[in-house]
Amino acid sequence: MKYVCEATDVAEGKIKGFDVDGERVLIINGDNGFRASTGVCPHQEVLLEEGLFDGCVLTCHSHLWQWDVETGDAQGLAEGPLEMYQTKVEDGKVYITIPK
Amino acid sequence: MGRNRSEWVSKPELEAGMYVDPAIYTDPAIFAEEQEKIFDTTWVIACHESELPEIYDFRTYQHPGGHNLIIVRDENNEINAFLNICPHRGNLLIYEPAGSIKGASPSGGPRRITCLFHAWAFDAGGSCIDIPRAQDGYQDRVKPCDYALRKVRVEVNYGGFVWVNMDENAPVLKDTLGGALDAIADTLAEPLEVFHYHRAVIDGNFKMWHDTNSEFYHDYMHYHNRITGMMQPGYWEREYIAYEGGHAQVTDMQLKYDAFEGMDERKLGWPGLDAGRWALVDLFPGISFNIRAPAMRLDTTIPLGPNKVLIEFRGLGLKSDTPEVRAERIRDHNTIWGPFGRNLPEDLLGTTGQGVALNDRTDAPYVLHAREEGNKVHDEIGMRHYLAMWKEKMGRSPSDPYGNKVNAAE
Repeated sequence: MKYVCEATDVAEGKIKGFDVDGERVLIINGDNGFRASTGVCPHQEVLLEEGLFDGCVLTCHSHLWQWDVETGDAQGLAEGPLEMYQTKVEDGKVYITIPK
Repeated sequence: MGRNRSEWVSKPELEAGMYVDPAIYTDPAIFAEEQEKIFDTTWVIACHESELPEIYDFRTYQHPGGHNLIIVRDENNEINAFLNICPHRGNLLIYEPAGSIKGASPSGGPRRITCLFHAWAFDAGGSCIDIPRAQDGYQDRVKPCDYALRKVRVEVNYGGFVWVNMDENAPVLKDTLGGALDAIADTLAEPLEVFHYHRAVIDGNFKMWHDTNSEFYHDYMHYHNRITGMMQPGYWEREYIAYEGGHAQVTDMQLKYDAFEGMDERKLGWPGLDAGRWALVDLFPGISFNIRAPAMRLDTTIPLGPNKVLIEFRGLGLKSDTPEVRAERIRDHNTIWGPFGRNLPEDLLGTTGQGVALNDRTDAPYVLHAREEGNKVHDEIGMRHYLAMWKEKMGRSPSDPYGNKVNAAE
């Protein structure tokens, strides 16, 4: 797993983008803890960190594609799922696995 | 892969009416015809009665048919409209955008519209009151009683707006609206007052501005509208209702202003609308009643040429507003619709871009008006319905205005 950030870097209910080995990833501090996904919208490559998050549902601001951050399943106007990454928080540090 | 010229100019595989020849936005001959057949025969809003609150107050109005008008409140509290032309030698009688004739002017006495050129004087009812040295110069050949101003039809109606019509034989206003404003009658029931006025002059045709007010698909241009509207319940149920005469209404919805970070929830309502609700009616040929409770915006378009348009923006509150309530309406109005508001500059940019891009009409033989979504919010029925009326008035097809598409495209 790769280190991304400190848990304190992303406030509760917030999202934030980070570079991990040249890839943009989104760290999500949601209602059920930390989650991580690709940082780029699968629709038109808009940065998801500019989007909206209500604790459960992530929304890309551009065309309002939405996903459940627990599963990455499409909701609302989304026409495809969001790629989620395995996430772990240990000693206040957030780690993820980006599948190759 | 881009398309080559012949691919680019080939007719879309769509029914006529689902696309438009941009020549209707840019051809000077078509524009001249629009002034005569549309603007000179339909009711348009010159101003609001609250903009001339006192007896003898006036405003001048640049009529979209190409006429200069004076709107003036006379001693009987009636609002009159006249051509702003002195019958003597054809000078402008009033040069200022607004004011009062209550006091004396540099050219003449109080309560008179006095021409600055040779001091012919008229009253607020349009009668000619004085012709200097009339007897010496004209003997009895020219008499004041024969030289009144040219009166233009006026109706003060639907919320106190001052409507004018150049056509003396036109039906009364109500008979031309097809019930479109009755649909929002409760929002216009209380006395209104203009608290904001500004104008924008942009490249683009007046119909483009009306198009922008008549489709919500362009919410992809408005971050604010996506977050406070498109993401919220009720948005996709918003529906277009077409009214006879080319008018259209979009049913209202509840916006969630505080979904936009840094914006506050609206707390104040509007007659007939709860706080944060948004109602809209577009009238042919270029008027939009737009109410985001707690404020109302009225757009009136004044084309300056085929591809240049002046848009007047008015913000309105209620005459009964306390200073605190008025301040809230003004703030909420300005954050979204002021010259530096969140949305209006984006709309102006969108239309300006069309005006620039379509300036040479041979460049783009077609643009699309083809969205069909059961008349729901992203349906383009509002634009098509408008152009159906345009077609009726003009006797030209918007998708084939010269009746010879092949030649027009070449």
